[in-house]
Parts: sequence; C-alpha cells; structure tokens
Amino acid sequence: MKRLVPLIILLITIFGLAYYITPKLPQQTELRPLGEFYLKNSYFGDYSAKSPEVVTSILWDYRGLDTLFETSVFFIAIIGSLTLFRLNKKQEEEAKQKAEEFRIGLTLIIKSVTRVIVVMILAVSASIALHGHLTPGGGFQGGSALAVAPLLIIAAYSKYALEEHGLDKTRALIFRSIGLLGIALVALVPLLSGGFLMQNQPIFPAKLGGQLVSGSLIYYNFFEFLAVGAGFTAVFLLLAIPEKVFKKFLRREANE
Amino acid sequence: MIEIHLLMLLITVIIGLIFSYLAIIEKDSLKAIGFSAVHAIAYAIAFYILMAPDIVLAYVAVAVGIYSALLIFVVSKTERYEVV
Amino acid sequence: MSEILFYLGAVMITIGGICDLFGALGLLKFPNFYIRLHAATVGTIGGAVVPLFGVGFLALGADFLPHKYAIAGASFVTGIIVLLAAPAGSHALAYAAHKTKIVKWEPKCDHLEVEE
Repeated sequence: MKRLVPLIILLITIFGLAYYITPKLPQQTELRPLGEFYLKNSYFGDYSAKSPEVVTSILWDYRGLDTLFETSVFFIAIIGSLTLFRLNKKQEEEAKQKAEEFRIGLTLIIKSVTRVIVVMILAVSASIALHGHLTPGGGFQGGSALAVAPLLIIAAYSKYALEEHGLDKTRALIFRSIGLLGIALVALVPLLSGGFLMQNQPIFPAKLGGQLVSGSLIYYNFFEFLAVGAGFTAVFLLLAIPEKVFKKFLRREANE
Repeated sequence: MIEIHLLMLLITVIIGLIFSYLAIIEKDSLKAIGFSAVHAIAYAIAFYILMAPDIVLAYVAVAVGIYSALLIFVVSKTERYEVV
Repeated sequence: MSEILFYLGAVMITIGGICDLFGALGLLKFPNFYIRLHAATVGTIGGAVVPLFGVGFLALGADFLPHKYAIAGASFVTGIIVLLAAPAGSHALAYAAHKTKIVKWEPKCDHLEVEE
C-alpha cells in the first residue's frame, strides 16, 4: 500500500493541472502558415513532392537532411553495439557451432505457427515500407516491423537455424551497408544534373510505368527499410550468442 | 464526438502512466519489462487517437517487440532480480 | 439478410463480453499457473476473436456505413491472426513453465513428464 502513495499523488497532480491549466491555454483554431504550405504542396502545387502522404514527403523531401542525420545517428548506435560484441574470424566460426547440450527449439505447434506468422510479417512490413509514399508508414516503420521476423525465428527455432539458412551476421551487415550506400547515392544523384542535395522533383520521375512512385521517396523508403531491418537483425544475432560462449572466449584470452 | 475521443485519450494515458510507474518500482526485471510493454501498448492507442498513424507503426514494433526482446536478452545475460 | 447479420454480430459480441468476464474471474480465482493460463486463453479466444468476427458481421449487415467492406475485412483478418497467434503463445508459455519446473502443482498424471 505504501508503494501506491506516490502514484496517487502523481495522479492528483496531473488531474489538478489538467483541470486548472487546460482552460487557460489558447485554442488553436487555424493551421499555421508552414503547415498549410506542406498540406497544399505535398501533392499539388509548384514545390510539390508528388506524394499524397504529407508526413513522408516532409520526412524525405522537405526536411530530408534532418532524416539523413537521424539515420546516421541510428547507425552509429548499431556500430557501437557491434563494437561491444566484436569477435575475430576464428571465434565467429566457433560461435556458429552448436553447444553440446543444445535442445532443438520449441515444439512443433509453435514452429508451424511461427512459420505462417513470419511470412505475414514479411509481407506486411514490405507493404508498409513500399507504400510509404501513399499510406502512413515508411522506411523506418517497415524496417522495424521486418526486424520482428528474425526475432520470432530466434525465439521459436534458434539462432543456428537462421545461420544455417544463410542469414548470418556478415550477410546482415552487407545488407545494411547496401541500404546505407543506396540512401547516400540517391541523395547525391541530383547534384549530377544541377539540382540541390536530396532534391526530389523534377529530377526523379514521379511515375514509373503508370504507377505513382513519388520521385525519390520510394527509393529512400526501400533502402531505409533494408538498412534498418538488417541492422537490427545483426544486433539480435550477436545478442543471441549464449553467454557461456563469450565467457569461454574471455577465459581463453586471459590465459594467453 | 470529440468528447469521447478525449475521454479515451485520458483513460489510455492514465493506464500508461500507472504501468510506467509500476515498471519503475518493480524489483523483478522480467516483470518490469512486461509492465513497460503494457505501457507501450497504451501509448500506441493514445498516439492513434491523436491521429499519428506513422508514429503508431514505429512505436508498436519498436517498443513492444524489439525493445522488450533486447531487454530480455540483456536480463538473460546478467541477473534477474534487482538488489538494492 | 442484414437483420440476420446484425443479430448474429450482436450475439457474438455479447458472448465476447461474457467470456471476458469469466476469463477475468478465472484469473483471480484459479489455483495454479496452468489453470490460470486456461482462463487467459478463454479471455483471448472467446473475448477477442469471437467479438472481432461479430464486429465483422455487424459491419457487413450495416448498409449505412460508408466503408463497410473495409471494416469487415480488417476485423476478420485481425480475428484470424489472433486465432493463430494466441493459442501458440499460451502453449509456449505452458511448455516453458513445465520445462523449467517453476510451477507448484499436484497432477494426477503428467504425460509430458513420462515421455522424457
């Protein structure tokens, strides 16, 4: 009971603040000029991004450099965690070997349900990312949904099942690098034809084969999807190495 | 109609507040991770009521799935109970 | 036709409410982990999947709704996904709890124990 006293005080404070302060705040009745500009120009207009989804067009077109640096911050974080778990070639090979008392995952029921759900997750995440310029969603959202699929496989089968089917840490890092390189190249392409860095229209075609692709937005979304999903997967694969294996490596290094 | 939405927003945000408080004072780390996942679900509903579907898509995947899983990995590598 | 769908949906939503109530009572009253897990599964299958299908039927029957097929399809798909995932999740919980032997119980016979 004693533990609930701070919570009750907190709730009373919040209700009091809401009751006394909220009526005094000024009401926002109209759009701000900047917001009105984005709403009017994201699909129609002279400074258009040719995307019906305003959030994505702000993220990757009007405020593109912000998102570029955000992405670089995320990748510096992933590089930090990769550095913490770094292993040399021999140790990496050894970490792929199954331990002696390894038991084969969970039961058949869980494995078959996981198989169905992983396919569903892949489809949904790809649709979130590749429809990012049409419906809510985008590269980061799709990529983080994609990263749930290897997580489920690690939980239901094991990390060795992923590695036997070819998705090991090195491959994940290669995919991540392809994604980053793609983002950088798409950002630099407009400079070749005399535009600005990360410019979208009219350098990239707004329609490909009759489908609305919103210029560069679909490329950015796709590469970000690849990079975020593969980056998270690499971190999960490293974290899923049992602690015993790391302890063994450390002991051996201390002996040498 | 807007009153119903504001009431739903109030309820979900208070549920989130209560569960985040429980997650802070809990000594068992696994239970605290569960509380934090419930808090994330409540806040995802709040973001949906506030008409931010982009945030909801990223928030559900990261805060319920990836964040909880990372913390469970970390707990499995260290200790479960918090000793003061 | 739309009246049949309306009553079918309303009955399913009512069943969902009753199942949720029983699930909550069971979570409070049942003695050990496995039986409480049964109550939780009553709460997810009876209390989430059945009312979701009910909402789908209700939306199909409502002629005044502008996006009735979208609402119905979304609730059917969500119901099917929950129907797939919830039993597998509770099965995984029970299997892991049995494997680590952290539940105190006195079973009459334990087939999973005999097999190993």
